[in-house]
Amino acid sequence: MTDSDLQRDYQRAVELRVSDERMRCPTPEAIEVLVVGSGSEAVRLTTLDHVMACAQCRREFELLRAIRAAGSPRRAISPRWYALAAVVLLAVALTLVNVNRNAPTMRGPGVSGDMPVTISPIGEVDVSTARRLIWRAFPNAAQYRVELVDPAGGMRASVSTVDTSWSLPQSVSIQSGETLQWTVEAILPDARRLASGVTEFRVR
Amino acid sequence: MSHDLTSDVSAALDRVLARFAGMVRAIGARHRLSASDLDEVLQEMRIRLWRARPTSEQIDALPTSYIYRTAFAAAIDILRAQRRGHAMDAVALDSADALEVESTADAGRDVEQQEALDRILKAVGSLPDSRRAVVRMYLSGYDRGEIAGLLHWSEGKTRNLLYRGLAELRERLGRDMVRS
Repeated sequence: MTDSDLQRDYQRAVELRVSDERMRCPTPEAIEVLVVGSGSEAVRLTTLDHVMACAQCRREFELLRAIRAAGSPRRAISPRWYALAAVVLLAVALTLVNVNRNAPTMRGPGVSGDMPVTISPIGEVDVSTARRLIWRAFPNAAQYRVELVDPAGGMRASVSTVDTSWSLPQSVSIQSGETLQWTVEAILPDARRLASGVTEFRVR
Repeated sequence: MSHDLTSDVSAALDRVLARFAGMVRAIGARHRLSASDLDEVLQEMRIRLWRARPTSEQIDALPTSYIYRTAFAAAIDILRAQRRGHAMDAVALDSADALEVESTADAGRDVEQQEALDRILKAVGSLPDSRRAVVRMYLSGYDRGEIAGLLHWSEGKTRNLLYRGLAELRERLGRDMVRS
């Protein structure tokens, strides 16, 4: 199942779930704590877990979240953001035109069960293999976003590319004995993103 | 004279509330922000702002932070009232009717589809605590940036927990499919 399939089914399941458990819902104050980010993380995660499984609570959460996000100076949507978004959309559109000129006939989007597939490196590999990331072309992908991270989640390197392989720049260090993880995300023309699972490899 | 002043105040309130509502709607649009909830907040804000700043000049001069603090407080009070009082009873009654309709519709709905939806809820519910809330939020339509921002996590931590959680969810769903 693609991420979109999972999201669609999950949201439908939550909406349809019969619940008489409003008494067990977190209070508006607890949802406020979640939105504001105060208090202990454990408590906020518990609240979040319920909110995202309860259609009514989620509605209340979104009201508070949207108000707070709109009022945050860092997140306020300014006209400049719209201008930047327009530039990005134009760049993606131009990339798509370029890709379609050269690409072979591809399957249409939305094929159930498809997600980007990583090819190499996987498992135990030597350094030279580890430095060249290769993945299968995904139908209709406008470009790919590739991320290389260490197991703690620290970003080692990332790139946006229209190719289906990426050789790590010399500035990116990879050592023998290291274990690293990588993912590739296909970005479709309609801006949907489909991510591969996490692929792990160990450098001999 | 008082009629003109009231018109000026009303116009000033309209300006302030329209700017605020536009911003909130733009942010909430992706996540189906309830229009009726926001309208209720706007009505309450109108009253509170007018009481606090009774002239149009004072209203026009209100700092943005003050407006959003007023909105947030109004929203919390409205949600409290909904939970507590007569409004909640009315909502519960409407919800019960809606739930009854859904329950009736359940009987007619494709059984296989319903089982698929139940499976996904069960599979998500069985994820480890550390990943479950994050996966739920992602499946509810929020992106990694929004998740990381809400929880004050780094992008790396969010990505790691989310990807592992989704991988585990797919594995569990795959096992459940084989069993069934």
